[in-house]
Amino acid sequence: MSGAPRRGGLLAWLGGATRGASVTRLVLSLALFLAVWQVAALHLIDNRLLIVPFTEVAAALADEIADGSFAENLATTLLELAIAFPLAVVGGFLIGAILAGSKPVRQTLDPILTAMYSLPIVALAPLFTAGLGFGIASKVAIVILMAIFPVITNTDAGLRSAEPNLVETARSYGATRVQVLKTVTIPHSVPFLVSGVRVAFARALVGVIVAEFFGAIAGVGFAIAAAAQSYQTGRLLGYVVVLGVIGLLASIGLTALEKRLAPWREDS
Amino acid sequence: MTATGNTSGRIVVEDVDLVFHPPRREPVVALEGLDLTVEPGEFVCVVGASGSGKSTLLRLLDGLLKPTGGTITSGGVPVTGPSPDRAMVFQSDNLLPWSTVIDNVAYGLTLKGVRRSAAREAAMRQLELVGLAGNEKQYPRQLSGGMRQRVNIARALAVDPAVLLLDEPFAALDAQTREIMSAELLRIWSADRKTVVFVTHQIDEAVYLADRVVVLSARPGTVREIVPVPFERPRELPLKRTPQFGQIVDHIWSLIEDEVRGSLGLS
Repeated sequence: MSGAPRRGGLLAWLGGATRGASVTRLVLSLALFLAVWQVAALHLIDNRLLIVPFTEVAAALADEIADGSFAENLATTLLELAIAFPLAVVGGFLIGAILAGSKPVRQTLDPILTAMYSLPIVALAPLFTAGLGFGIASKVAIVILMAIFPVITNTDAGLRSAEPNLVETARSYGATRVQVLKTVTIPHSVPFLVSGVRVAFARALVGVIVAEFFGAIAGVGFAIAAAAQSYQTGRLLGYVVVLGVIGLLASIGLTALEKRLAPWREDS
Repeated sequence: MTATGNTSGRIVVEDVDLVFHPPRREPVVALEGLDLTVEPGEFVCVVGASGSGKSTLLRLLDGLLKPTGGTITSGGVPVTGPSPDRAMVFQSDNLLPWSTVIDNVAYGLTLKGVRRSAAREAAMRQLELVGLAGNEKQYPRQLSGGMRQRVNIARALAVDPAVLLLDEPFAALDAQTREIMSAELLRIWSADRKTVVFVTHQIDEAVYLADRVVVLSARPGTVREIVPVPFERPRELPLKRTPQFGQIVDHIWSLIEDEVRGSLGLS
């Protein structure tokens, strides 16, 4: 599948599994997106509060970078995520493991957890800002609450869904309880854990931005809110693009992590 | 492959009962007063209508289930749970999807604490025996059903058990693959003649493989008759087309036909 694409095989090559093909796909889809944006802003939508050409957004971002506020805003948001997200993931793993290990605990906590998972936790953002201040503490709290529930649910489901056949096989080879856990239950749950973390990151990103809307000293969400209040559409959209890039990078990173942790699921 | 002592592969089942107590339902008598002795190095097949407790008997021999009455010994030692002395091959191959072929075969050894490199060496020898050297780095998903079942058998052989227990190991395979696999199993077995207890619902398969065929009756399961198979070894597949072979198959079929009809609601 390597080397120059043959005549007529360009589409087939593009659908292939090579690194070159996947980078090309990414570049193509970004170019298409920017082209649609540019055409829409210049020719279709005549409302500069809604959309401005991509070139203006790039210029606004360049100004932000030049005066140092971009670095400060991005660093603040990333710091908040870097503190809160690992705590949510580790806490979610632990709580999920406890639930999977104890039926009475699981049955007792299940209604609360279901309610908390379906609750729009961002509704608590004003409360946390009032109670914990404009600094990073209020954002960390929101992100943990947003991100922890999918991790708990997926960890619990992954650990409890190991195939009974495989467990019986392990037992017939004399596996102890710990060995069954290490060789069957935990490997089986890896894909569940990764998809829990994936959902959790999307929710964490929402949480941190909304929390910053309600009052912050710096941050991407803070910058977006400030730009909106002063009708700076280019600056606002610039930061939204940054959020898109963060989401994309996280997704690529998690896919790579899953391929590394669960190589048996890769297509041959 | 060390030679096993004279009693180490001997299985003695005496007056074994097994009663299941499902919650809020009548108890089910799966096996009642079952006696059976399997000699070291003997190949015994167990047949019977569905519900006759064939698989249950095998799980008792392995130690995955405990009898509610009677005793089972393996190599003179009472069976109280799974032991490295016996290895079980299940109907579905039950390979670990996250482990490569070689690590699947080495699985039983690594559980016993054998070093990884030594376990892999032993696994490699078994893979050669079942004809899968060269596939060791693949994942089970990448193999055909017949290949996976050979890996399953190699995994059981790798722990060098005195007794090999097989629960309808070829049931999920197509008829042609099945024929070849049973011939392969005899070839592998003849290398060191472990004691084998092989459960199947395919009577011709049982007669082709076994020294003796144990016919179970259903509800409650107990030994109906033990049919000796006189054919010399090594046996070739054309044996199955001889009249003597057909007579033995017919006899065993006559023993279980009524029960099969009964379980279908026919008379």
